[in-house]
Amino acid sequence: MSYRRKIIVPFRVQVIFWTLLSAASILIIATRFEMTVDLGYFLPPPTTDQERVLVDRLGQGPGSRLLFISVPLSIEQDAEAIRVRLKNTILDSKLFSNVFSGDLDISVTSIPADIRLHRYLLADIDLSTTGLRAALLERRADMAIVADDDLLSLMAEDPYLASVTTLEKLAWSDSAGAINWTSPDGLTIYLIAETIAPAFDMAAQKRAVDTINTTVTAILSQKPKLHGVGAYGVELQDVIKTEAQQRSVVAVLAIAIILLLAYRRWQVIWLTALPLSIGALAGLAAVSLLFGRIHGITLAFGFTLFGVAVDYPLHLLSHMRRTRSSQSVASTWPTIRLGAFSTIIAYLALTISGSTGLAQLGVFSATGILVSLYATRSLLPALVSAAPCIPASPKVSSMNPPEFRHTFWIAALLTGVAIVVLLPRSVWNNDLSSMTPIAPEKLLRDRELRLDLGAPDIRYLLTVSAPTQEGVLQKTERLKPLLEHAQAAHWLDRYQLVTALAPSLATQEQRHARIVEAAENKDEMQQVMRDLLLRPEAFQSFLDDLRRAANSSDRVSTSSLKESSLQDLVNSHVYFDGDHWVSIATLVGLHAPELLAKNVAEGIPGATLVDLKGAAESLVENYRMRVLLLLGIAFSGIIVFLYWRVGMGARLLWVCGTLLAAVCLTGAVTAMLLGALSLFSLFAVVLVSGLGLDYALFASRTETDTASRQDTLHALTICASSTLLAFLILGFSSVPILQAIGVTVAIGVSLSFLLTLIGVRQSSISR
Amino acid sequence: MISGATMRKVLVGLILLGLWQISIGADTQTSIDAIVTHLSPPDHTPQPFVERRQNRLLAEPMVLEGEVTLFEDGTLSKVILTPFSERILVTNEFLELERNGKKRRVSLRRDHGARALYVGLRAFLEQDLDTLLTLFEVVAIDPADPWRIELVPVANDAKRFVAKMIITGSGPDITSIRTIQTEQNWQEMLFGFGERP
Repeated sequence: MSYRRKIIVPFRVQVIFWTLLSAASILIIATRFEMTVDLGYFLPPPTTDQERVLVDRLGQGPGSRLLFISVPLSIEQDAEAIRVRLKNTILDSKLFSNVFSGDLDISVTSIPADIRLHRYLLADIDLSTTGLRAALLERRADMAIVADDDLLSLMAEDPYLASVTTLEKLAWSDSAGAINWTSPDGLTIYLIAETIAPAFDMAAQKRAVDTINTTVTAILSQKPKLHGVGAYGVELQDVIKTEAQQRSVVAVLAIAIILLLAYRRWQVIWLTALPLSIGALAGLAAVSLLFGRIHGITLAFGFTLFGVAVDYPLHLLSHMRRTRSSQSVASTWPTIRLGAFSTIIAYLALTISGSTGLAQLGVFSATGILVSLYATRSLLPALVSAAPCIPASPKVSSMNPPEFRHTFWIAALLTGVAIVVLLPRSVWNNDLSSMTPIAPEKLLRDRELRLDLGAPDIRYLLTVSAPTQEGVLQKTERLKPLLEHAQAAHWLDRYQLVTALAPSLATQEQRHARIVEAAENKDEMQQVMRDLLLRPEAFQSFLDDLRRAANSSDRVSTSSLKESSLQDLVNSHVYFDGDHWVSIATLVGLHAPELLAKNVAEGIPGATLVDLKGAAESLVENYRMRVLLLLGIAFSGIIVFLYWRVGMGARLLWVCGTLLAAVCLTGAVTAMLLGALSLFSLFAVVLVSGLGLDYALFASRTETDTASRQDTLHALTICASSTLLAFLILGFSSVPILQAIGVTVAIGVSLSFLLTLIGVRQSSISR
Repeated sequence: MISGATMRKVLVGLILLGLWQISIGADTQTSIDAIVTHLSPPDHTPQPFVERRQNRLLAEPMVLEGEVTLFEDGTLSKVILTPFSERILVTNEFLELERNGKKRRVSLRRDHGARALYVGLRAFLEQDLDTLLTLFEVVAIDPADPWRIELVPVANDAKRFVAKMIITGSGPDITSIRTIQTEQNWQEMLFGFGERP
């Protein structure tokens, strides 16, 4: 005969252990906790070129850092003076790389030094005497209207106006003056502020938005209207934060009321909260130790998934109402443990998803559940024993083994499948934009402003890739004739290529050769000037610069630019993705994406028109398949685990069948009510499976007597009702993401509870 | 001892001198009024001109010929016919340049200086003395016929473009407008019976 000797640890020691664990967790969190909002954490590895660009450039594309500012004015206010003052004040904050208001200030002193110095390497200029003659004739025609000394100085130094040409190529706004930066009635002026921080850096975007609001309010005593990715992100963050906080408070109060009504003791609230708190701290500490930075989504969803742990103290408390004996604990604990470990298996499956964010979610939830589980077992029985009991039931009978009614779960499963099959549209919604709570009229206004003010497109990017940086720059240069054709055909209004500022070395060498040749023709150039009745001595600076450029071995590279705004521009257009160099062409006013995509694909190998919306949907779909696969692996693992613990039999079949039916029917009903299932609903289904498993295991266990059965029903009812209420409150949120999670879990809890109640018959042994 | 009669003569002389000075000042203002208010009403048809332009890049003044028109809505059009073809349109809101079939427009909303010059010139041509005097200091250099008036911009941002303008004419007709930035940088537009260099 073998027996296991049970080690009894004094309660005082257990308290010290949990206190030390909590203290250690707090210390780890205090020293290592760092939050991030980089969405890349939650994205799976991209599988296509388009997805790769999306992941690499998420929130960093040229158009995504723009904030569109609409400033209302009264008729007597000087619009232009206000515009200048706003622009200067906003730039002084150092949060913005540029503020555009339609004025392209061209003078010798305003042209960036990098461009002035290398102007003849940056543009294809005909430096022959014929070319010079043509340029000087143009300048003479300019002199028919220009008398400004600054502009005359510019012409003298740069008769080709090569610097101006480069600046115009880099400006995505229309320098021909066709854009109106004032509304037709003159009562609104527009500015565009480009943030230094990428769009996904919500903290920096909030500082930028607050700066603009403060600046406009200080000058005009009224707030501007803001549009743009960053503005919407800040608004969304505030909305979600407010909604989540308000609803969490209401949910916690509601749960507290339910617990008080069910247990009639104030003590139950802190007894329930204690193991959860210890578990939450342990979960955060584990993630901090393993990953360093924790993503905001991990925290938000982690606490949601971790919520299943609230059931463990409730089961124990319900079974300890009548008697505080260790037998109550001993009879309940194995089922609690079984459910908890099964849930942990499901959450641990997330850690092998390939996504850092999901792995964090898995570690946080699994650690939290494990620690909460043992904190519950360790602390609650001793803490509860001090409280008075409710009277024991006078009539207690023994129970028959449970009778499993497989009909119900089979019917539920078939119903779920039928709903899915009969739905007139796809069950899945891959369009993340439908999850945004931003009002449609705001999104429409954003699009209007982008088109009206000539801002870069944020949906389409033209990319080329090559193994080397020189290779990618050469390929980018080959895009130019293709894009010029697209412009001429009105497929596209404007474009911006990084090679306007950083040409390939091969191109620069060709241009340098022309500079050298031109510099040797000084006398011929001076004769051309005399022929056109110009004073050669007035153009000496041009000739000196030409000679200097001819003798210089300096070339422009993507890392050599000294002006930070130019370096930012280059960095946003060319980068190394780990495998290849990628160059991005900014497009403005793209009217025929299909035609451009076809031309690009046929014209230049390795060039692609990336539809970021399409790439996002493809990524979501792949992500969803990955999560579904993981859930399938987790489910298989749970079956194996349950088989090991409860053996093959009717109970295993019923538990697994009920769980599967609850999950399937939840998905089907949610899709029916909300239109389709999103990725967020899928995460919610993971929680539903944890809860449903807990209910099924308890409902299907062999009870010792009718009192125990009543306690089980009591616990299940409280668990289900508290969870239902909490997520129902969330389900009424105006934020689609929160609504999706709330509705899914509310439906899932209800169906799981119902199926477990009706799916098993527990009868007492009649005397 | 100075006699009473002498004192009276001196007093009358002083009074007359004072009256003469007043009448000279009044005459100057009167001269500007007389010149500006007696200009021919704006002819909204194209007026031929010959323009000489000089700046520090040119070896000798550039000579342009063309037509200038002040339309009824206030738009000023300058069409250069030789030695090249160019058209400039100026309104209160924008300046538009057309050359070789390409148009380029620049807003004047934020360029107070350029706008002031356009408004001032238009005020002169339309005999709007009140507006003219708010934008320019106006001095009649030669009030008699042929007359000459000098306009100096009041606002600093207008002075960036023009140091002064000298408008000459005879009777109701303007014969030339000379715009000066510096000694080396000036433009002179001749109308009607102005001599061609």
